[in-house]
Amino acid sequence: MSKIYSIICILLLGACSKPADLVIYCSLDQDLSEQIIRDFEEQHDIDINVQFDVERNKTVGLVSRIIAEAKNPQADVFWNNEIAHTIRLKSLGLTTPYAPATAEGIPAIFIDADNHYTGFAARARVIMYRTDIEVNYPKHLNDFLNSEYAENGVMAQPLTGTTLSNFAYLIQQSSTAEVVQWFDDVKSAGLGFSAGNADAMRRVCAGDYDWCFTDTDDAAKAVANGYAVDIHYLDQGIGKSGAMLIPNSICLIDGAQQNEMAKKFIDYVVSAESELRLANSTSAQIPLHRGITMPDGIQLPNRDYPVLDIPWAAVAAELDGAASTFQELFVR
Amino acid sequence: MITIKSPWLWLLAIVSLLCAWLPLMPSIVAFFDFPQWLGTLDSRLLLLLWRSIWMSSAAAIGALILGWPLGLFLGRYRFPLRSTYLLFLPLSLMLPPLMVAQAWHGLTGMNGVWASVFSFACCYAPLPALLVIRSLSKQSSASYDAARMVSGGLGLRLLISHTRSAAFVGAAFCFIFSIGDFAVPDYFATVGDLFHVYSSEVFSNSRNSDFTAGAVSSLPLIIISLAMLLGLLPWLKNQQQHTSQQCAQPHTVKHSMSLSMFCLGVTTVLVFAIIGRMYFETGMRGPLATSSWLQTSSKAFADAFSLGRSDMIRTFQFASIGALICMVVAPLWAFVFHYSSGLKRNLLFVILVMPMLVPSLSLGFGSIVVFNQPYLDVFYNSIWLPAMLIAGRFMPIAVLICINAFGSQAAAVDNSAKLHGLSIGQRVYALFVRNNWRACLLGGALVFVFAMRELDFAILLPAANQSTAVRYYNALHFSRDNFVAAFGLSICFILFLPVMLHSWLSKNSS
Repeated sequence: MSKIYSIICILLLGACSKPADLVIYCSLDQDLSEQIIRDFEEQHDIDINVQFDVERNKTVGLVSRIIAEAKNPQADVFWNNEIAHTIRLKSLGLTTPYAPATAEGIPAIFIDADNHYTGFAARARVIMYRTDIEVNYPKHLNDFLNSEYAENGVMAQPLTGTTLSNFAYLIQQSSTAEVVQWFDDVKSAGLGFSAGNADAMRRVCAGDYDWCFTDTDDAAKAVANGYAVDIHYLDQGIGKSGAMLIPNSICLIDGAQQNEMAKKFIDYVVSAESELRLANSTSAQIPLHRGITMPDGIQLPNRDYPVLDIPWAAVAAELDGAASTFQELFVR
Repeated sequence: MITIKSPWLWLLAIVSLLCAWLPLMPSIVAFFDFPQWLGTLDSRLLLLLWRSIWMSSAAAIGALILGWPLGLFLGRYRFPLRSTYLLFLPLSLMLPPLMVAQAWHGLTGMNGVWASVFSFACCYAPLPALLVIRSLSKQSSASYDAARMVSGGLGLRLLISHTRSAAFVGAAFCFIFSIGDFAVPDYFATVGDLFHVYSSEVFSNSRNSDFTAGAVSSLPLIIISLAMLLGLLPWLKNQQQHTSQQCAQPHTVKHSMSLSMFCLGVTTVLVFAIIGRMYFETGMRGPLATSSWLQTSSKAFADAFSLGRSDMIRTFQFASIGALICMVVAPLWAFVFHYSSGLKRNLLFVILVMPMLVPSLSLGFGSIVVFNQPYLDVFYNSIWLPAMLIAGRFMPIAVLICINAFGSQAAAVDNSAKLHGLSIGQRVYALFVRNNWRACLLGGALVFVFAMRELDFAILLPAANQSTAVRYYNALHFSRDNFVAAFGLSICFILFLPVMLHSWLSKNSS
């Protein structure tokens, strides 16, 4: 019996903990962001409570949690791996302005005019194709409609993540009806669909398809795992040519105005040094600071390939509607 | 008869309220939107619902086909390697269903609806098997021996009749867990023809900022599962007819080698093939990789240990506390059920099982709404919150096992204790728990295992976020397949270690 009591005592002792100096909600993949956060923790000798998100199960995740916790905010900083949901938080009044000094050099299009968020370290929407065989892959989004390309390709269902943001943008640029028609047409042309970008990438690595429409970080992971693949920056422009770049974004949560450590953390993450760390990681995130020396294998936006100017606030406003439309279209 | 004055009843009510019903309240409020939601019901949703029902039913039948005979043979007969099969049986419960799906797809290339059904059956077949084995350990020696003396067929019929309630409870749990899971169908849909199940719709609705839409759209699944569990209650009660203090022991049979081969086949399907494939995946790499299989695998295990260590400790803490709460409270629940009947019993049952049937996302959001208050900050950020939620959500598993065990306690013993003036606490803890500690332990162990796998509210609750499930699924999303396989195997090994040690020590001591 005494053994049982000892176990219970150990469990109860383990249950006690002191509050953290800084609470970070982070939706960037854990194995990319964790070390960056822990290094900051060590440098400043503070205790950081970091909460991660998971995309795999299509959970509502940290954005919904911030909304649900609005009356008594727990997070100081939200590091989002995309930008549209951060804008949603701003529109709900859940963020507060902070302009990090280290953001100097990042193009203004990635920084909120009211300084509620800062974009950095981006991913591009690309075609990843096999290089061990001759592959005829699409160069423009409209090429998906051609069965010659479509039959050998796969993309994620636009239910979540960057694919949802991508097609919310297309809805914003054209209309819901046109995008729905586009999906009907690409389905008829023989395009395959997967649950997520990583799944699409895996199926190309497995040889089920010749190419997939995915993000640069997924493609970089396939290369790191030793698969014979390469990428092409897909032109998605309507009128003007360009690939889609989706940056990470970081914001100060309303209520954390007095937390100086939160501001220091934002400075630290947005800095060119952190961007370079992310660029040199297995996900090969694209640095946005001008004049930064690009690591080998990463191409420079607007120099090596054209990039679209995305009206992110308008795209964010389309997200919920787009999600419902695609749910009806794909969840069958 | 239990009176409302009993302090034990108050304890039960307070624990249930805190652990289960307070976080459930926002979802209950959302349920009032059900008539409005019904208006949106169209052929798409009905098709999804129908697909979910038949797939989960097929999975439950599959779990029954695999688990029931396995449980019967392992629980009643002696044959070569029996103890090894018994040792490995719980292991497949510790494997995340998605990993089982990936392993079987990797091994056979299977995909589509039937691959999902097969994976669910493999994941949950140990439930009927374990419950059947536990039920057989309480079978009356006199009646079984008498039946065997008359004929082997009669003995077998008695075995089937004695264990059917336990087997059906296990299959019902398989149905309930399968119908609420969308990760496995989602996976098989992506590697073959695309299809969806109703739980995808629930999760898609929960993804919107208003989580109540997810709660209300989950009502059809809740009602179906509830009806299934209510239907099981008479079966559980029926178990009381087969009781004795002299329990039948496993015995040898003529075709022991055939039984061993059958168990080897089923255990291979449930455990060995999956573990083997996972181990292979720890070192899997592309054709251009410069490292060898061994180097890749070693690195994956080293990463799993260094990155996942603290998550494992934290998960163990809140899962253990949750399991301990269940082990203390479940016998009381079982006692209350034992002495209630009719409408009262059914109402109590609904109160008990509702937290398990509601999607855990809704439960997680409910907790935020209820417990994220300035004056509760310490509690909200402590591991007590996930521990409590785990206890509230998975309590029905422990309670149903205790109800089943309670039936096997001779009524005369409890009546005698009552006549001697023993309190409810003494009757439950000094008599029932002492005589049925294995059932309580099994209930606690199952709660612990399901807690380890819980992802949805782990993301939502501060103290549960740094858990094995979050790290596992995060790595899965980021295609760290070697790490995922190594981390999954490490979790299984660590969970399994006490079972192995216990088995080895008991053998040595005997």
